[in-house]
Amino acid sequence: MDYPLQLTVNGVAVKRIVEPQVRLLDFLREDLGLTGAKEGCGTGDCGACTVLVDGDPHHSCLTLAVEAEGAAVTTVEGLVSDDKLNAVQSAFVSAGATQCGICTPGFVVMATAYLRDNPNPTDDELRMGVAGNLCRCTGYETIVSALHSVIDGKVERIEVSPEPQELVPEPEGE
Amino acid sequence: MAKVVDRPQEKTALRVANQPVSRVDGIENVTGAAKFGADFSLPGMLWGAILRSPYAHARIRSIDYTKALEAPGVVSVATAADFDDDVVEPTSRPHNVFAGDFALFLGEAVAAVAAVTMEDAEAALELIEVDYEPLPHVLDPLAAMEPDAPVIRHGDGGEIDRTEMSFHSSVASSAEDLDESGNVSSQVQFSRGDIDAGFAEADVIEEGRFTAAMVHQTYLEPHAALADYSPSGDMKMWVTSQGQFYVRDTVARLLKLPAHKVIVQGTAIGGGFGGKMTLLAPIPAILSKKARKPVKVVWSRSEELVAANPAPASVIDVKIGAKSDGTLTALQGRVVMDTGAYPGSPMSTATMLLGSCYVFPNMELEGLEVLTNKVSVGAYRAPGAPNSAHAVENVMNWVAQKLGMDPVDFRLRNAIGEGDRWPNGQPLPNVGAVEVLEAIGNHEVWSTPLERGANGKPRGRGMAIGCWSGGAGGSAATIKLEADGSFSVLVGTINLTGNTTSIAQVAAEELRVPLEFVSVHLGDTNEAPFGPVAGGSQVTYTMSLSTAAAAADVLRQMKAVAAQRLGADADDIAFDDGKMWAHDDPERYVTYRRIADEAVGSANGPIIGTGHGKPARGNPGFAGTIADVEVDTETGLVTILNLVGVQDAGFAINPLSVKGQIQGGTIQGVGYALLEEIVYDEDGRVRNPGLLDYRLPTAADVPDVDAVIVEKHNPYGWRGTRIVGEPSIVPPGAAITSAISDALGIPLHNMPLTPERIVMALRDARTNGRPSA
Repeated sequence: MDYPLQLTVNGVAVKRIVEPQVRLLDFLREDLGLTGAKEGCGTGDCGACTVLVDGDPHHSCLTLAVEAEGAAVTTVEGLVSDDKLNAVQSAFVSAGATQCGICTPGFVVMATAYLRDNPNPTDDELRMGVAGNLCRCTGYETIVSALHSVIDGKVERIEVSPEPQELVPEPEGE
Repeated sequence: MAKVVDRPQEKTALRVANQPVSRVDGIENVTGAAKFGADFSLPGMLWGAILRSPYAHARIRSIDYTKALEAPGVVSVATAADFDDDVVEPTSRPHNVFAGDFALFLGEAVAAVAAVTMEDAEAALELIEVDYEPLPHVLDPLAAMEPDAPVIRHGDGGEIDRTEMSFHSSVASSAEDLDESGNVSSQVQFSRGDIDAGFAEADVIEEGRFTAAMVHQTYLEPHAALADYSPSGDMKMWVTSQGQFYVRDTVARLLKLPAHKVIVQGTAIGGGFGGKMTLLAPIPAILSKKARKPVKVVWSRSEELVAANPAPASVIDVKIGAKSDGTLTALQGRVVMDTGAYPGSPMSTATMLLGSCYVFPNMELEGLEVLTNKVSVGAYRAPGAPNSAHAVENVMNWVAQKLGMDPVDFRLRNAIGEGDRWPNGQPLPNVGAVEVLEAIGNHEVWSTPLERGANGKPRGRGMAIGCWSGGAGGSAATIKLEADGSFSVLVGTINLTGNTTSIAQVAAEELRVPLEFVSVHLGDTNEAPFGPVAGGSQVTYTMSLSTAAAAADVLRQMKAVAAQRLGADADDIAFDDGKMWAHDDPERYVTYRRIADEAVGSANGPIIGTGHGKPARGNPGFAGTIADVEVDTETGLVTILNLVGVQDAGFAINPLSVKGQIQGGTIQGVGYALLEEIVYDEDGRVRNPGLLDYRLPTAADVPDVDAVIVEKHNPYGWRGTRIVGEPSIVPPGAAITSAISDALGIPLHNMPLTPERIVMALRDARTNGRPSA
């Protein structure tokens, strides 16, 4: 049985025929080529596949594509706006919160939603808020400190694809 | 600020090296733009799935895949029969792609299918008819050493393959291979002095038997590989692996292809920690060769936990003697390492490392590597070292306690240093054991007494040190001067966890330009100069030398062009900030941009520099941990209150990255100490093949790690650089278990100390005065 699916992904209206057993993760990665969401476990234990469905974080490995019918889905690819990283993304870059980078997309999506809903968590609350996202490289400290810098409003959003700069002018008369 | 020891004065102020720098590829990671192993696809691509043995030990009488080949969507099937006898090494797991005459663990690959969809491939697996004759199996290494144990045999035998372990350590294995008359596949012995006399002169002797569990590296990205065999005979591959040249060589050998026809592009890698080498790549390669279509295989998390190559379980006996003044007199140790179904474990290293941190005038060490019907083990960040440190450092703390000495002072009295010898007789270069111990002793946490908590729960403190020899392989790099005066660096070593940023810093420092004027590109195995496996903490250690050499080659060529333009001698050319000038006339300069432009038309031609490098020798990295814990004696739950990680990095090219390595390695050590264990049932089946039951530390489980960098100049590294990646994982398991022991007032011997083990140990201590954990 094929199922006609309509939804919005990162602000773009998408219309596709899908089989009902297809996971949202596979639909995004294989059908739409949005490989930002990762499969770390396939059982909802690691958080690497986290995407927003109508603003709420979901494990896309445990969500069927057809469950997103009519929804607005946001993946990590959809977080950049005005040619700038969002605050969480920017803080991750500045704090060195990404090492191998495989958990980063899910972490960034989850933390973006969490801090939107909980703008002033304590350290314990914050750590519990992102405890569903596993990271094997960092030991979490740089991630947590990056998120604290977002909470403290200390993050300057980083520009993507910056203009090339000139290091030194040609000497006069050249 | 890092504590700096023995560093020579720099002639010019450093511009980007030794300064914290955000990852140059950070934006790729946070936007989802970075492409990892499973992110690559090709038109017409097939999906591969793997059939695995349902028995822990069985003879394979026959395999018939006729029906599978006829199933919908199926294009090719591969088994051991597809690899010629002269390329298969029966005792080497990476060179024994599929089980041949015997399946030696439950989950061993037996066959693989490539089909149009993953569903087709998985459905076809069930149509492969394998005639198994189940055999008796053995899972416990001590039981496997008994005379009546089932014997695990590998086809025709052959030498033990220690290639992967050699990537991690410049210290060669001293192990002697044994023929397979029993399950002990290799053994090693180290001795010095007179062990009996050593214990006779000791005033205090402590000993214990320590076990460490089999743990998984648990890189969050499962193995993935895509192979595309072209009609011209090129095997193009996209593989997430720590060593693209190692993958290339392995695939070329197994499929009998010329090396230049196997073109491997390493992808962004979602963690490896020693465990991601060549286990998977030959499978899509053979499937693609047979199908003549691209084939992608991606492992599931359960395949990872059942059939990858985790870190070994071990049983280690340690006995240490010391005089009442704190001088060590003797060390006796025995390592039994469970290597799983294939030999090649870090047994020799683990045995030697028992005597790696202190001067023992008398020692007797023995190591035994034992085969069992479990998944074969591999490397995990400082392979074998956490197991050794767990045993030695706990006993060291007991001896210190009995002597009434501060454990740091006791260690400082006996710490190993330059010219002292490791158990294999090798004299040490200027290691930083003393400086790491001093940094622990001077740390605020160590000098502040541990207060009892308001909740009355017992608290304890533990410390430990440890070390890792590290790799020191050869490497090469190429640097081009681009048209606008910027530089591109071409390397063949994958970006494991930020080393690209360090390489860019080295190039920018040597070429005297801002970091933004340097980009680092990972070429495939045909494009790029050779780069070593990203293991043994060696990438930055060796690539900094080859990158600096390539920069010197580029600068030499640039100076020739500048000299001609300025009418000066090339030896008189100075340079900085993207311009060159004659020493005596800084006002008149020529820009790098102009040099690039002129070079194209010059006798030299476009400027491209090549550099080769290899550290003159390995120089072990030392690390130390302080852990304060609180234990809930009713539930057995341990809360870590303070965690300090100290490490000697020599010269921290990127302190942000070095701190990240210390923090990450320390928290992986928390996993060893408290949480992680692959559990087998009596049939040899993994009982916890998922991340719910194989528990990693989460952000809510761990405190911040105070990462302290010590910088003791290493004469063999670029500007004093040492290995960084591995040492931080070595001491935390010992320090944390020691802290729990201190809190509860009972000796504890096992890792991980799960809540269950702690409650059981307390119960045993209450009932018969002898803890079981």
